[in-house]
Amino acid sequence: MGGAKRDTLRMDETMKVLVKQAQKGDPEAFIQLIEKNRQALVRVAKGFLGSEEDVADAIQDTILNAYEHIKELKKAEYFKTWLIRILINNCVRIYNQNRKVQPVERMPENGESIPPESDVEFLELLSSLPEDSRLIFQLYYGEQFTTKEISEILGMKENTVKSRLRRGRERLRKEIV
Amino acid sequence: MKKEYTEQEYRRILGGKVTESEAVSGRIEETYAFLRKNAGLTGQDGQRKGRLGKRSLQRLWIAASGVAAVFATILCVGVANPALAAKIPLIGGIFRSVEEKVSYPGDYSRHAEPLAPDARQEAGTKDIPYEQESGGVTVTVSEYYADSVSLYLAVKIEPKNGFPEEMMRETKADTQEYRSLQLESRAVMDLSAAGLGKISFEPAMGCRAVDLVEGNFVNDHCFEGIVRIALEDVKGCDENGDMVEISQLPEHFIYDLRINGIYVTRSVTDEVIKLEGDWAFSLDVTPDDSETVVKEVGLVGECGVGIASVTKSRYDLFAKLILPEDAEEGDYTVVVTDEKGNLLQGRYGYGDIYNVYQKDIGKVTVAVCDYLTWADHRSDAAYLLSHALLKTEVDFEK
Repeated sequence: MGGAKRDTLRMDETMKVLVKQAQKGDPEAFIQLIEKNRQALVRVAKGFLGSEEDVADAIQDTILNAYEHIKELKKAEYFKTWLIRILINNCVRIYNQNRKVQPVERMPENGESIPPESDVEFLELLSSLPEDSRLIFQLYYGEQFTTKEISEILGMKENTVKSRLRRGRERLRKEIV
Repeated sequence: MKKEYTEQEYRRILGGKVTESEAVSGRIEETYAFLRKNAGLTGQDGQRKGRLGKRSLQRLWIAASGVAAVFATILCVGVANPALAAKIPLIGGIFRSVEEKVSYPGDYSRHAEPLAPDARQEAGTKDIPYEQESGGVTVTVSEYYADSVSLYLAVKIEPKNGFPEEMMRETKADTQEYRSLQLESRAVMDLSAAGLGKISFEPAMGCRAVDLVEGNFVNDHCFEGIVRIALEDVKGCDENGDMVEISQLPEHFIYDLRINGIYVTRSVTDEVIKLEGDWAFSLDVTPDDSETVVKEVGLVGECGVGIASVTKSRYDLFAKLILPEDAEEGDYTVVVTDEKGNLLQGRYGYGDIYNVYQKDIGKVTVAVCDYLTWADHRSDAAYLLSHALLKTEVDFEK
């Protein structure tokens, strides 16, 4: 068995064990699960919300909601998909409550680093897409979800997800040329 | 020319490590500390204890969907014999109490057909076609309104033992004036009178049946709401099991509906909380098209996309598109402005069918836009119309 495949299987088994332990009420196991997905939480929330305070709120609520309901997660392998769906629910709620417009250019806040200039250009191009397409891009390219998983997270038809990806790529190409 | 990015670079940039701000890091660590301190006390035993800084642990969930919620809800109530409908209102006020609060508002109560209060006595039978009890839950339809675009039913749901508290909690959404309950159902539309046979709607066959009722809880033992059944584009399975599309309904048809579940899906866990039963109704429908107008347009733009016709009924408006063979409907959005130039709000949040209740729509402008153009400027009527692939004015008063 190849090394990469072996590592993936080992990771899946670790996840299952952690989920089971967390479901029995072990906070350390649950925290480990969150840590494994912490970057994904931050990336997706930052792509959605305008301020770091809102990002912090969304992630905190997500962690608490997930801890409260993890016993109801039927399949351990769906943990990340489930967690991101909770996060998006919280992001939408906060966005609707605040009705803040996502600034095209955000000033880095304390502790944040500034991305390289070439990446900044791409991120600006990305900000020209409609918000649902931006979110789909983040979930597909950033978090490596499949279009089927994204359709489940967002409650969209899979063909719509594929269409948004395709139209988003076409738009980015048009902006570049 | 700017740099062109590869898919690998998309992944690198969007999936790369992000540095957290102090606000985010601090809040995550604070949450971990709280969980460690209150292990066993936070939620998993059903109790919430302890406080986390300024944040309350009580949250109301608003289900998020990338696309607006599916509101195609149809509940068919059977009136076996319309002649028995003596126009004595039994419950009467259901339409009136919720009709302006749902996602498809209208003065349905003014034009609805009320149902007989006691068909049992009048018909000399024990059956009350519009009131069904099963599994301890009574479902009643008190009124209905139909034209060839939509069928609306006023519905009351009364579980003997009350609604589960969680069901009531899960339906609450801060941003809406109404609540929604999902319905598990299948339906058969009998078009035999027009020689078209029977059309079935079953989720297992990939056909849309009735799936939602919008309204409000009167109390924990009673929910009143409206179900909307779309009739403008009927797609179902014929008696051979083949998919058929009926774009022109006959003047009269029977709609048989069987509901087997009334439920909500918990937004966090996807767990289903359901009231199970078997409520079967048969509705004799004669659409009232006294205010329905169809304007033939037949306009095609340079790109091959066009508008075939625009239909307006008492409460709805929609455009039928012409699409080139290789085009996908999802790539285009219909935009409609009223006489004052205001954008009409589409069902589901995007162009499909528009609610026209209390709108000035003697004359409308109907445009077809590329989806991305619409998505980027969906609130800007002037921009959308000036960048439309094609547009036309439709005068319903001529």
